[in-house]
Amino acid sequence: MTGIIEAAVNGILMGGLYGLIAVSLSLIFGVAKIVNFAHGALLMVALFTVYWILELLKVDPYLSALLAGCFLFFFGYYFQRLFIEPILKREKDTAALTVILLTSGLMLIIENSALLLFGADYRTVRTAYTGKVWEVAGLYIMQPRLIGFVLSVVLIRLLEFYLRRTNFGRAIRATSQDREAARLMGIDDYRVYKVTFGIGTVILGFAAAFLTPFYFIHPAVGDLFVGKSFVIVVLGGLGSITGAFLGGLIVGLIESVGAQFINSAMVESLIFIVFIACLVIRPMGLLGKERE
Amino acid sequence: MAVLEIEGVSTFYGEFQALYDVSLKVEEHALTGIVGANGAGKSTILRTICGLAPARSGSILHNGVPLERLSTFEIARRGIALVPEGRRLFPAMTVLDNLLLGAFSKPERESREKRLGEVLKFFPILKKRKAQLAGTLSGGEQQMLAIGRALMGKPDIVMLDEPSLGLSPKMVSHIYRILDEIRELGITILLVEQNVEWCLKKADRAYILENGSVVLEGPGKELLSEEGVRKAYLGL
Amino acid sequence: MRGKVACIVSVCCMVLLLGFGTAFAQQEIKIGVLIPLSGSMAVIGENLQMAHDFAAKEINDAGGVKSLKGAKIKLIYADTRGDPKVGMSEAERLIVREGVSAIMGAFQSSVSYTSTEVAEKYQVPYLVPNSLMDQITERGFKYTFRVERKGSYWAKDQIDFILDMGKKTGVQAKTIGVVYENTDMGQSIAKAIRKLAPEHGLKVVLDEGYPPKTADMTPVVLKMKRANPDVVILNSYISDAILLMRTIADQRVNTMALLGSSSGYSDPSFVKEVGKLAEYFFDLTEWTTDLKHSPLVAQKNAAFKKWTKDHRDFNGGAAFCYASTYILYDALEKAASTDPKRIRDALATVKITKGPAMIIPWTPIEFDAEGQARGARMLVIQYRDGQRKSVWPANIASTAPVWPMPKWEERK
Repeated sequence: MTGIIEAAVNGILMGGLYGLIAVSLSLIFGVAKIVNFAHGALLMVALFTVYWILELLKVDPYLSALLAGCFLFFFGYYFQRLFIEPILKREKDTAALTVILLTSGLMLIIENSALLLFGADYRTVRTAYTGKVWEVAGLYIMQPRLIGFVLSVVLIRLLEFYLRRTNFGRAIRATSQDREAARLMGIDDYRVYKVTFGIGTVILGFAAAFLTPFYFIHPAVGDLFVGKSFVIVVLGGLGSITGAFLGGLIVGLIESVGAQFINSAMVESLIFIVFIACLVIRPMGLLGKERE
Repeated sequence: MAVLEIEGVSTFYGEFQALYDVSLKVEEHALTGIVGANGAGKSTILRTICGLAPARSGSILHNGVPLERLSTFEIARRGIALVPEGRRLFPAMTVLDNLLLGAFSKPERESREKRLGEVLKFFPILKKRKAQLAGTLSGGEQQMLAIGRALMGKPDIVMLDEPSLGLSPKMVSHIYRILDEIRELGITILLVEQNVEWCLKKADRAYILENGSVVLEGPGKELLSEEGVRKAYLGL
Repeated sequence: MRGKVACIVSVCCMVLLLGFGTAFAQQEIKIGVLIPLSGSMAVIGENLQMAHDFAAKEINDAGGVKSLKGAKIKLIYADTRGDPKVGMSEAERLIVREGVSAIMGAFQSSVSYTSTEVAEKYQVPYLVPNSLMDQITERGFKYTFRVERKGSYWAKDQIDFILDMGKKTGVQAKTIGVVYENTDMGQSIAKAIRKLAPEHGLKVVLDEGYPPKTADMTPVVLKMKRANPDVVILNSYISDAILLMRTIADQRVNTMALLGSSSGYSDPSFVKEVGKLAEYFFDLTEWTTDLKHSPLVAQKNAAFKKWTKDHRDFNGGAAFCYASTYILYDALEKAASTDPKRIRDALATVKITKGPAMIIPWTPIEFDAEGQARGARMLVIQYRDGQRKSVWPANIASTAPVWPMPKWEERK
């Protein structure tokens, strides 16, 4: 029994990080309707950003998230500005498909550039939290995971507050619901896209900072998370922030608890079975809005 | 002086030409009406002014400033508010959020709160529904919200695209009453309306559109008394 | 007159140049090398590439292939991206477009398995230094040769080692677990262990294959903790090896021994990234730098270390790639031809007893009718102070093993 509880706790903690990464993807998709296949590559950029901040400045990994966030906001902002915006502007009707091709291509370019720049070495950072464990009633809870989880929850609350209560946050939501009407309100939709992309990348920066104390960094590390993120986003409901986070928790739980009962190689299939079952029952995802 | 001056505007949707050399003027504090059959290009005029369907040729001046090269959001920020056909509210946001979005480009808290108070006073029903999602409102309430949202930006000119469309007769007359009140506030209105009689009766100046061209213009009441108009549009 | 002379001279020069040009072209023997050079396996591929390059450089510096008038070996690399399908198309490209005389590669079993088929079809010899899936040499192919020991024998060696340690120290393992990446290579070892362990009185209490690209190893490790095996046999590539090792330490999973199966656990980045956690970890491997059977081991490793930019040691994979390049060189000398068929015949009859290929720990190097290296053997190392020390079998080992491993709580 302890084993199962331990697995459940781990599943939730890890699921929180999956959720955070998926929230970023969901936000960008929900607002700009961009299917961002470069998401994993951006996570990798975020991880390397955090890595270099930690290596060069030797600050606390959780503090590094703020520094990385500043840089990554502009990275995301100009990523959208330079690569995606021109296509959205030029190809009004066929842009969706082109953007998929574009982001897939950018993924390869970013990953290969990282390979050239940083080499294929696996890197890890020993932080003050690495390998630290809290023992609670016979359960080992890994410190960096718990801290990462709690901060993820806080971050998502902050994001929701921003979207609900601030003028620009409202503009982001408005643009996601009706782009043309948003323009009529005086909202610069392309700026909303850029800022949203920036925010999404900042979230990845935080996810990277939460991962770094117990993870490794490598040009292809994004591949480990990106497939899962798409599943989570659809499971949670396209464009829903809370849904994406919840979806992350569910996938984390299935992955961790499921592996205690069946072979982990089968767990992937289990995730997809749950995923398909959910979509049959609720085609719009857990917290998705019905489409008219 | 004309708030809005449109001169020789032609607009295309792809290869299809929707407007042919249209010219019209919107005078300050006046109600300007545009009437015509379905597909005559009434909505296109409003969309062209807003930059949603940019003109291929011709000029549009707002207080002497050309609008043709501006984006929709820049035009909106100049104080040109459109209450679009189908209302185009943000259905998954609250009534309050919708109203606040109307003031997006003028977010200074104090003046925004003041206008919000005014608008809610103007539409008491919206005050009651403040926390409700816009998508859950009735058609009439939605139309009021759309108008209220437009007023939140303290617009120079309000353009309404068929505000009575799809509403119950009772609600239609309610909306008409509201338009009267708005007009009494001295707000410049450009109205596209399917109810030709009502529109011409109220309009200080009206334009009749056929197949994308202006075929008649003049003070609303004058047009209303013209034989041809009565035959074509009022079935009399 | 002067113009005429100049003209004649320049024509002569051109003829000479052309002549040299063609002569030069004849002096090259194109050898294709299939390895993963991008994606998550790139770090492994780059390491192997250096070993191949180093061997080719030595051979060419020493005068090339003498039976072919000093022809130089030219290695042409093709990136498999770790994908069996890409491996096939790249093999085809190497043969058809590049016109290579032989191929080496492709590290991963799954890629070797598919790409050797292409070579068989075109009748081009394919020397496999590293892949261990049994079937690679069990399909009756005439053009496939493998230096590495078969995967099913790896399992046998691992079980032998566990039993041997038990006898030697009196601390006998009764239960074992096997944890592996669910790919051809992992399944190959796991299958053999499932069969062999019970025959030797070892109960398999955990049999866990995890999918490639697993982001979190904690579920697997928690399962390991609950099953509580005496020894865990692990088979991973790099990123999963790093994650597994860290998570095992985090969760304080104590066993008599953790026994790896080379690959990720023998890669330099493993010990670099997990640091002290690797201490006392056992690894079944084909090779280490401290082997005592031949002075060439130390010499060639030192030379490689000096030559590489980051001054790295050979690991098992790299040593076998290095040796394989020499085996192929030996076959080229014998064949005295760039014709793939003749090279194949030469490979089938090599019997190498000296030269740099002898850094691998058995003599002679020769292939049986299947194309499998006869006499291929494995050894076990233990990480001690960050070094890979050979501990088994005793006759070629440099160090006495620590068995069982100290508990995590007792480590500093």
